[in-house]
Amino acid sequence: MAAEREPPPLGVGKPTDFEELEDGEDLFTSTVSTLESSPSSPDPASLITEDISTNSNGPKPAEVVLDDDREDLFAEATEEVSLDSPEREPILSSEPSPAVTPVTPTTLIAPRIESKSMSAPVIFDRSREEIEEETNGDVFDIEIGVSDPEKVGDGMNAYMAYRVTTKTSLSMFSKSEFSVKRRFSDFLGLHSKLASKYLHVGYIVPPAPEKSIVGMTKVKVGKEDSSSTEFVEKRRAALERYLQRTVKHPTLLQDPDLRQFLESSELPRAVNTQALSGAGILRMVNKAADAVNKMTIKMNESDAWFEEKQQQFENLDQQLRKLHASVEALVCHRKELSANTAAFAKSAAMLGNSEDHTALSRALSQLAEVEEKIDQLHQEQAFADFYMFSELLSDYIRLIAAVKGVFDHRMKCWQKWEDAQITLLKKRETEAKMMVANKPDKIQQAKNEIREWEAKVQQGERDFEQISKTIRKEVGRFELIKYWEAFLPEAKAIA
Amino acid sequence: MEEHREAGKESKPSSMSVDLQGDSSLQVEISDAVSERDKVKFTVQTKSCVPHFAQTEFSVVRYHEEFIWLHNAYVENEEYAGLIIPPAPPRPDFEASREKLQKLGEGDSSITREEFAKMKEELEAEYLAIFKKTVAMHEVFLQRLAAHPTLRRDHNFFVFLEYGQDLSVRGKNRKELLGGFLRNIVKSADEALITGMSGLKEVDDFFEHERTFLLEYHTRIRDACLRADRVMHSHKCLADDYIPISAALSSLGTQEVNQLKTSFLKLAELFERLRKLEGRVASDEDLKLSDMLRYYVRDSQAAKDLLYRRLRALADYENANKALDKARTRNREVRTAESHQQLCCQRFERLSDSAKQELMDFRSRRVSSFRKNLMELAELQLKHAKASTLLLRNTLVILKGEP
Repeated sequence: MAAEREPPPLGVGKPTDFEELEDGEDLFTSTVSTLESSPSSPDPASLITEDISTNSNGPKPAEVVLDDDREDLFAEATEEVSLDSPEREPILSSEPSPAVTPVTPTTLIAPRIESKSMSAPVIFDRSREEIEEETNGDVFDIEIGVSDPEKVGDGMNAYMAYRVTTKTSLSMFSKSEFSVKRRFSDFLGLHSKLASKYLHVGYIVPPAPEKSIVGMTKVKVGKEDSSSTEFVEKRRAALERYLQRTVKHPTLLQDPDLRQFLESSELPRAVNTQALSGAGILRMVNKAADAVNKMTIKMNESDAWFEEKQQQFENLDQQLRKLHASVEALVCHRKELSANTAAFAKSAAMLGNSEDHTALSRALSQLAEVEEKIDQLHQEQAFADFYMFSELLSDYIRLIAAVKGVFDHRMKCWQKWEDAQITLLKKRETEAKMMVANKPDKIQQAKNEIREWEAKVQQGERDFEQISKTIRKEVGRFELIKYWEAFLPEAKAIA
Repeated sequence: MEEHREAGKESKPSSMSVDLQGDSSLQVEISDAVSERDKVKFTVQTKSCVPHFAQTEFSVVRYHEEFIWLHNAYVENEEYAGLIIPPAPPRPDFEASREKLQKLGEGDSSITREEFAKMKEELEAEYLAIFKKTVAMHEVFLQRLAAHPTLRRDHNFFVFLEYGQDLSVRGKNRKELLGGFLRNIVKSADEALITGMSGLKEVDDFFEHERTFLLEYHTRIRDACLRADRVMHSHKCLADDYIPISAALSSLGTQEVNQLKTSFLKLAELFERLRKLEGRVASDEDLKLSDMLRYYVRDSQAAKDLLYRRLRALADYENANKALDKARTRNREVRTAESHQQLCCQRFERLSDSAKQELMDFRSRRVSSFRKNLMELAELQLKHAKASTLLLRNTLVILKGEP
């Protein structure tokens, strides 16, 4: 559909409001509000301003409120508004001009049922086709590579620095090709920032590769043997996959932290990713508390879709784990095979030497050579198996853990909602009691409290709805992407 | 214990190509074999036109111990000291696979029914293979005896082939085993002594050369055999690994929908087939390479034994010479010393001649056997490699063609 409505005559002042509110990123200042609403009522616009003014960088349940409200208003509106159009993001032009007219005629400003990109304060110019492509999980216009691991520093303070190269044609980046140096804790820092922002709104944030103290210590100490090079290679590949997954996610792609990670040459050292730091310990405590909580929360699952999906993910997880274990066994045996073949090649050579019948001797030494080549081949295959298959599987296992985490957050959200409702009830009871006891000031206080809690209840409810919707969307995306990712390396590995 | 019936010659893997140039007047084969509890019963069938035998065709039932008895009878017979006695067949050993079968039977709840069935099938095939091999070994032993112009005429051999009743040969009891063990030690000490003796000069270059060659060869071939065994074992483990992978993939496949599902199922199938191929590679390697190497380990040991006997005879001869000289100087008991020396001399020469012949036979036998087996090994490996590349390529095409 082409643009159905003219952009409402919002005052020029409105965009500037938005500008102020965004944080200091340069790119943000070029944005203009997407939240053009129906021209019929200026209310949404004021609502917009109001809510955005309370926003800060981070997940914005308030904006969600906005959406729903607008939705309601639109229902009453006399104009035809397509409420059921597929998720179109309201478009902001990326021109630095603070013009009110935001977009090209091909874009549609429709109320977004899904707040796919709502959580990011900035929404960028995308044509409709691109959006469709994104929802199909197809190729993005951005490529990321992690390469050149180098050891920087010495002794226990040494670390490996990786070069992160980005090639992109997306307009939000200042250049089309750039690269920076990052170390492992930088990646972990990025992940924890993204997780804290998006995880409890229901997005599946790709998990970062795990820390390995043993491996890193070996590298630090400077042991130049095959196991440490293997370790570095493994880590490099894992980091690359992690970044690629992260940028594939359209919402995460627009996150300022991600952009900063990819672009800026100096990154503040993420200290709280160190294994033994205070933050680390805090995290562990949190994890333990979460585990206990999970066991005690019993959620009344009213939505069959979720239940089914959760079950599916459980099954998938189990199967992937089994597969992973068998693949590891396979890799191990193949390595053994190659070692044994090498040994055999040597003894066949010796046998050929001692054989005095010349033709036979020659035959035996050739056998030895063949066996040696076979051994090399087996080794290569072992590596291929390992890198492609096994690592991929463990990535997926971690991803599924992240998905489960998201589901858990949803449960927590529900819990909060429930709690809010209960408290509200209690407050109402208190109010009633106050009424009876006829204490006016207390009544007032009670009334205030009630209002407060009512708001919280509503908030909780909306949060919950929100998270449910987001999760649905995410899971759909996840499955699609999983298919693509799984298929290609498999084929390569076989070849 | 299940009974395995051998259906005669065609099922024999004939891994040992023993070049039997003997005339066909005496043909021996193991036509049937049954495994009951821990004993294996072999049915030895003989076709012969040798006048000694009552009938032209007859068969008897023999146990492994009786084969060993026959072998010992040959070894202890002085007449055959100059010949390479074919090595005795190894004891049928089903322990390893029996254990594995038992462990599988005890059950592991994490494996699915199909996996279990497949593993059981694998183990049964392994058991069958071991069984076939042991039959083949016994048969080769007999056939070599039958082909050798001298050995075939041994009285014990005839008894073995013909005597309908149980030979009532008991296995060696503890004392005899110990005795055998001590004898071996004495033998090797003796050997060391003889070779170290300064007075003993090897008159014949041929034998000198053969000795050094054999010693070295024996150690190296034993080494190679060990390692080949390990390679085969790894291959088998690898093939077995494919089972759980294939099972997991197919269960994943049944969970998913449409395209991903077919991809997974295809992959599961691929692994299943790969497994069979790998299994075949492993067993071929086993048959052609390892078995052959193993046999020649034993054979070269027998050749070494021959050389030792000859050396012993030489030492005796030398001693007899010295004794004769001493007797002549003392001019006492010259007759006995002379006759003794004559005996030794004769013995030594006899041994040397036959040993030469035997060793040359050994060599040609070895060469041809190696050649045959290595050729077959190479051909089979090629075949399997081609099959697996084809399989992989096809699967790749299918997987790529899908989306």
